Amino acid sequence: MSKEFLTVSQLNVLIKDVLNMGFPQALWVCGEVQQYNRSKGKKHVFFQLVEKDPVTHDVKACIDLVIWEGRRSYIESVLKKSENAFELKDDIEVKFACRVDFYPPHGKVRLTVEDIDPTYTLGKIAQEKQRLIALLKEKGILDKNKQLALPLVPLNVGLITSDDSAAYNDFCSELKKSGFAFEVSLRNTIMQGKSCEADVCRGLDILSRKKDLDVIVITRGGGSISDLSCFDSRLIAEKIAAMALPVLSGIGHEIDVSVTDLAAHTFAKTPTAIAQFIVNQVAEFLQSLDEKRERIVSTSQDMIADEKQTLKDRAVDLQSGTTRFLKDHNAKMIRLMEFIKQRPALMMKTFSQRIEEQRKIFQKTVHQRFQKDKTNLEGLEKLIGAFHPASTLKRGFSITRREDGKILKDFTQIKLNDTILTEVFRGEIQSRVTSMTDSPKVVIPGGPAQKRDGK
Amino acid sequence: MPEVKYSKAMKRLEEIVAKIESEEIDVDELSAQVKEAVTLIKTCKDKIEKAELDIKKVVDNLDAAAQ
Repeated sequence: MSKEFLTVSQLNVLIKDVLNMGFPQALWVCGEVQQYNRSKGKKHVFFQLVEKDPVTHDVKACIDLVIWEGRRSYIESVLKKSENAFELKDDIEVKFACRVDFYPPHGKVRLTVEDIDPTYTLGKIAQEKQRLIALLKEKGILDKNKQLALPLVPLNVGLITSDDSAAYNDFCSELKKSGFAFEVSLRNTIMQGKSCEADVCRGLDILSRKKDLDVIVITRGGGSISDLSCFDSRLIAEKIAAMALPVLSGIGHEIDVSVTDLAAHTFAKTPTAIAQFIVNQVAEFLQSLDEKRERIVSTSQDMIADEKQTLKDRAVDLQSGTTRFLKDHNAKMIRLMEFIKQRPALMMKTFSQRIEEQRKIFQKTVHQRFQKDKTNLEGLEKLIGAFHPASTLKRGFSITRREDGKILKDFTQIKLNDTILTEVFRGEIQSRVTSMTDSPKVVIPGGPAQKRDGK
Repeated sequence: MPEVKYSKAMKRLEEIVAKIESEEIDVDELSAQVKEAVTLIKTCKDKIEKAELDIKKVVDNLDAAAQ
């Protein structure tokens, strides 16, 4: 080994030269900013970039950086151009273009910042946020507070904001302008930076124990994305989900919606807008009250008018109805009266006629009957007359008897010298049999055969 | 004579009329039934007149009250 030596400064210059040769161009380096505030108020900014273990969050490596005064305004202008998205501060992920340098007086390696890529930081923030939103959505945390019913008249407002902020003034003046009797319970809260998340959660806890509140409002004015990134908070979202009161948020930003907004019952873009939402809520209630009163009055007036008209109609119906009813009954009575007056007389007439007819029929029947009897009688008389012996005698027949009075019916019943009595029409003759002659056989039509006929 | 209900009187009247109309009635009954019918008609007419008068009075009162 050579006995020559280098002074420390000579060595450091040598190291510097070697390093510069080793890193001839600027490199893009990514890491998390730390100790940024250390150089507050100084021309040059000295800070650190660290790389943390993604699981344990322990620092795996770190390196010093410097932004020289001459480069600082350029870096700031780049940030401004990128939608004023964020400013350099601790805990944010950045991507710098740096030269690797060595500072001989301190003997330390450091990176000189030449440029910044803001899209990297924005992407990181956005990625982080999307991951968080997906997780909260999956757990149902974003919907919890929305399920609470907003009070009809939210006049008692718990307010989480910073008391020296424009947001506080905007919010309160908007409420005051409405003229409604709002009562605001302020919980003065740090609304940006590292402590914001925990302080907002504490504020929610404190206000949740307060009685008589209707809603809680979380509000602040606009700022850069990194200013507002503390509201992309899992803890705040979970706290809101656990609240028994509706939580409204008005976190001033145009570009994006924060996780706090998504977890809230309702959100608006600015403190003024969320105040207007509350005022509208009260105004709508009043309006609905007015409308209801109006409706009650007009409906009841209509009902009364209707009933009056109905009553009138019924009275008219009653009168005309009863008049018609009585008229009908009167007409019926008259008809009945006519009937009773005329029908019985008519009936009596019919009865009389019927009696007369009966009488006539009777008379005729009796007459006919007599006539028939008479004819019969006459027939009988004739018949009887025809059979009378006198009639036979008159026609020239006679009856001959023996002396003993027996009718002589046969030649054999008499002998010579017998006395016989002959009865003729209008007299009797006594004679003696002087001769007897037998006569031939006689046949009587319809009767038994007679041998002889005697006179 | 006890107060007869109109509807009852009317029913009886209609019975008598039906009897007379169908000529089922006996001459012996006829005069008695006609007498009864006349009495019933008178009763009914009286009732109608009275109701008419009452209703007029009540409706007049209603009109007076409405004004």
